[in-house]
Amino acid sequence: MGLRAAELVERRRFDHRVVSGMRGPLFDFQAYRTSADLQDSRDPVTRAEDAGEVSKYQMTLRVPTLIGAGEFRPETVFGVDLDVRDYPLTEPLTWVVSDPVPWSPHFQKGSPICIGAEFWTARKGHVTLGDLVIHIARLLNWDEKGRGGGYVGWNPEAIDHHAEHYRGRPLDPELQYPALPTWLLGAPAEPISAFEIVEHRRLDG
Amino acid sequence: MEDKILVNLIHPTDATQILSVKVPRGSTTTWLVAQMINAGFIPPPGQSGQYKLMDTRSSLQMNDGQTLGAAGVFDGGNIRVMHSTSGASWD
Repeated sequence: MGLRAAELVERRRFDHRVVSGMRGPLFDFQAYRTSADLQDSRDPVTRAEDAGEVSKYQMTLRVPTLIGAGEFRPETVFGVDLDVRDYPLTEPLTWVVSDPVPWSPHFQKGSPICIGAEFWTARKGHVTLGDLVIHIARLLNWDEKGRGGGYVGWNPEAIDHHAEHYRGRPLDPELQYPALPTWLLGAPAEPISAFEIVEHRRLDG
Repeated sequence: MEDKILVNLIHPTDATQILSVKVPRGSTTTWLVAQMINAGFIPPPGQSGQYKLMDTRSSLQMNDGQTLGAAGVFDGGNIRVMHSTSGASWD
């Protein structure tokens, strides 16, 4: 059974809070109310109190990924639309904005990102937008668990290339993925923020 | 952990206010603006507003989503925060 309107607003607010806590050098986003706003990069939602109105995102992951045999692109921009029937039981709509699209079995121009039914649908809503960000970051880094041998997706050629040159390993085995905010896991906030204020001063005339 | 650099952020309407912060070299303009808002240094830009950042050494405006490293901002650099109410291009 889907969420009522008020519950959906709270879920959208929750998702926005989660991904807001994940912003950093590897991940950033712009949030919008409508597809038209997203299309035109107009009226982004910047206030936390408006987050319940957000259903569209343009996200950027700075995870170097293959765009061809031996060719890399440093970042990938993609869209996410939470305004799908029965969200969050149903996976959000996703699409790649940047061009060329990643050279991978999970990405294809003009198609949703193949995130896998086992990742979202099987979890029956117990998965956050932040989990999706990390999952896509892993797909970009070819650091996927669980689909196993024989999976070819949209690009068997890319799979062959990866198998030959990386032997099943991630493109960057040392990559530090964006992390879910610590409050979500019940842990205290990290003592040192990436944004470390040294001094706020006022110059005298 | 990524190297951090010190940057001095100059307030958009009161240039006597300077927020000195240590941030990763890979920090983007969008993220920096969000952190300044969270820290209460600048107010939210409003629906038709937008913040842009300029490296005072080069006088070049940084692109949305550009990292400090890519923009050539040095350790100890000064960044002017600018506010637009039109949301239109700053070109």
